[in-house]
Amino acid sequence: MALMRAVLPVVAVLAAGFLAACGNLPSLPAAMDRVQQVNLDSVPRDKLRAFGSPIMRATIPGLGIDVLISPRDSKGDIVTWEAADGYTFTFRDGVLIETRGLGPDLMSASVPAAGQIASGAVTRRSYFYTWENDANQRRDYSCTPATQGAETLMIYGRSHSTRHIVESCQRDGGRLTNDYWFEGGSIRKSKQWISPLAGPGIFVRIID
Amino acid sequence: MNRRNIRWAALSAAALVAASPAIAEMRPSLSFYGVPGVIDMPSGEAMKDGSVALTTSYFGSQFRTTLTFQITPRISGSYRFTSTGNWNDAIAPGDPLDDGYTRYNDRSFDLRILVLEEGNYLPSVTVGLQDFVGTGKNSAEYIAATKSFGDRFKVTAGLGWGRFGSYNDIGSFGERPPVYDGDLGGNPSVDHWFRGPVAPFAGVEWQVNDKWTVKAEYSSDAYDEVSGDRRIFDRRSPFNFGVEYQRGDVMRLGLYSMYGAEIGFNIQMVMDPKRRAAGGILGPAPIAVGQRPSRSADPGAYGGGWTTQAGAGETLRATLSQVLAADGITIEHLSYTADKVHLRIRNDQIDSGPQAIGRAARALSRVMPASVEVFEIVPVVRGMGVSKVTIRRSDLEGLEHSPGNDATLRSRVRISEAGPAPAGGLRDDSLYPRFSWGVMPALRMSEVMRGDVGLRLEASYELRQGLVLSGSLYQALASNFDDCERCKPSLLPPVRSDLAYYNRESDFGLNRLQLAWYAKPAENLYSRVTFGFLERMHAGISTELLWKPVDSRLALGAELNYTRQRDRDGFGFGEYDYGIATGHVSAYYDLGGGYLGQVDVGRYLAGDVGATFALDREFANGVRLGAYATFTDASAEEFGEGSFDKGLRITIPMNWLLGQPQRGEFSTTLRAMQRDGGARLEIDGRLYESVRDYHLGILDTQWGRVWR
Repeated sequence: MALMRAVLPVVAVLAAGFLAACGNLPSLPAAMDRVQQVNLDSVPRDKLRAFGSPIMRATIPGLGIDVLISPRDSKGDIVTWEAADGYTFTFRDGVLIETRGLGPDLMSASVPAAGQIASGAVTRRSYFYTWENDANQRRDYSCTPATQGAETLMIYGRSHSTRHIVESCQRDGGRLTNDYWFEGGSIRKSKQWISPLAGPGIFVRIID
Repeated sequence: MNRRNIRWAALSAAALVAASPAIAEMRPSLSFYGVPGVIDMPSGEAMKDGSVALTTSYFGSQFRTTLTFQITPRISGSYRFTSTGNWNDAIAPGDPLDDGYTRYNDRSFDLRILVLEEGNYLPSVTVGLQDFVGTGKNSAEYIAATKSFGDRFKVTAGLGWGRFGSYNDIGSFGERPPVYDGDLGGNPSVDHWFRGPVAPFAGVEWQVNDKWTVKAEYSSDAYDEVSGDRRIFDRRSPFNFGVEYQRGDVMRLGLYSMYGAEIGFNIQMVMDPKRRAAGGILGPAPIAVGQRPSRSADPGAYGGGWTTQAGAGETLRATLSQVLAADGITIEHLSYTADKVHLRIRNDQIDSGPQAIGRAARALSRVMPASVEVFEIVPVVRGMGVSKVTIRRSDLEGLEHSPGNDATLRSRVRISEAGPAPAGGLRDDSLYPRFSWGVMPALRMSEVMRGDVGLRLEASYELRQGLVLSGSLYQALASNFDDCERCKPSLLPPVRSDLAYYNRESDFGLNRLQLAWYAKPAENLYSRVTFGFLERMHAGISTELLWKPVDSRLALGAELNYTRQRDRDGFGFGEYDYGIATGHVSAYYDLGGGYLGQVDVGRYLAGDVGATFALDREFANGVRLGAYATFTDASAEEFGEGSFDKGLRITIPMNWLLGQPQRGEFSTTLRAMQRDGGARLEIDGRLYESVRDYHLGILDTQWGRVWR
């Protein structure tokens, strides 16, 4: 009987937990979608803060995507953010490792920790992205970060003192760069490569 | 322009940029014959592997529409429809050339082989056979070489026989048999190949910038019949000049001065089935994999007592059902023990097995209590469980965000025979009976370029698992087909050649109304019995048995049918009073790399006995192109024009065009001529294609989508 009592909540809680996950979070991106009907640059910070959730702006010039995203789930240092359009962006400690829903998606990636980038360590990266015939293609890079200097960013009426670091990555027959603006130990803004067809995405943390 | 359109436009531009290698190279452009070439002459190049090109060109009253498929990196095949106007205008009545046509239509096939790839010093070299099984009017053979200099300039030179050896020949290789109009055509004209006069041709191309190219060529085609005998146009010069404009990645438009007398144009569209218009799969991101509490933190969560709890199963099913509904997946069966769940799913939306399986696994990870470690997912197609994918939940959790997780997960899952569903189990209440329907635009061809367009209504009513009543209606809306000009009496029973009469009879047609029963009688065996109006021309009963182990490249099938030919109005059987037992044994083999071979041996609708050989190439996104030929004991005379049945077949899935996950596809067969020899019943829902989507070949090629 005691076991039954212990078990009953498992099913109920799991089901309820799921429904909560399904029920609440999508309403935030849906509300943000209404915000996005207006020019994203002109939305006041207060209005964004009113959602009561961290908000990031994701812009992918190559795909014409410019959306607000909020955290959907987190596992340790991995956080998945989602937009109303069904896109998701997954970061490991602020470094992009996955996208979904874009079409030319970054399916998975092996990336350095934000701390390694900030410290200027030479690292290796592997990208696995959607390519021809629906198969995933792998590209390996050797990356060297370099500090560009201090920069003050104005993000929705608030200024942030950051250190701009450019990570230059090389492979046989190609190279790419990622840009990070570190505020203290965390990434405030970044421009990170997604895939050959998507190009880079720009991610700006607006509300923490 | 809405957001999606902007995205697509932007993506096309991005694709273009990304497609340009570090050193730009000139892609092959296509000739008036729709093969890699200069203007009217072929070049030595091949298109990118897998490419499909559609070309329409016109000059001097001659239209040519060509579909070319780069079957392998070196081999390409083409199907061409040519239509020449003013055919008899300059012919005096009673002239032997007066064949009564006002417009001469012809269909032909080409085959090209790239024998040498371009290197630093050597050109690319192609050997081509043009119209190699036709009546011979357009027949030509050639060896063409093309060398590029830098990334903007290309030179082509070649030698041609047949049509391409008809102007200023430099010698002759024996005697070329004359083109004989009365010939039935259709057989490889081997005795013509590379025989008779041989003449040189040449051309140059200069790519001015990314969009504009100018071309010039010297043609070795004298247009003996069209220009000489029939005087349809005046060939004043062997030189052609043109300018072409590349629009986006797909389309190329050209305007030309042809043979010193005519203006010509050419529209080329080249598609790469390996690439999607959207650059990948659109559609919403999947839900996150559920995270169980660690066993040490919450040992109670891992208890199995919930299995005996009243109502637990129903709660789980309802929740799971709700999660899966977002992806168009329904539960055919759900049963479980404390550590294992067996889920049978029906996937009506996602066009890729691995993606559907991945989504189902994610849903299970969100819903099943923590003690459940093993997920068995069985895709069900037409009521039959077709394979079983066994995934460990801890693998799913551990690999969700790990690099290269598709390959790692593939090495850890087991894909096996579905086996029977465990006794008991729950299913979605709404599953049976199940009614679905759809209306789509459709095309009904009675002859080449003649037919009607209309709407097709398809509906199906599933009475229970594996038992489906379905039908298909067609209503024509507009037609350009008045009379059966090219219908010729057949020496065989008119089991196919009378189709045009059926179409002319009525704008409305009940194409299909049938009851089908699918079952899985034993391990690796699948069965089908279909009864009713099976297709527009025939009704009866069709039975089929297929042996196809999940991990086998080989499948064997047998089909036995008895049908009677329907009246032209669709309902009686008195008009033809023709009944026949037909049947085939079939072997299917997955050759790897997307190539599929098939041999069917048996008796065909007209009572002829023989075999069909088919080779298809299938891409991960479902685009499929192939060729087939049927040889039966019906003689060439009995068969009529074309001598035997052969053609190209094309399948394009909706999702390739739309980008969104969407099942459903468009298929068509291009034949030189639809005759009665080698004709098979057109059955909806044959077994091999039904079960294959979830077997190893396709599951592996699409496995990259399991985390999508």
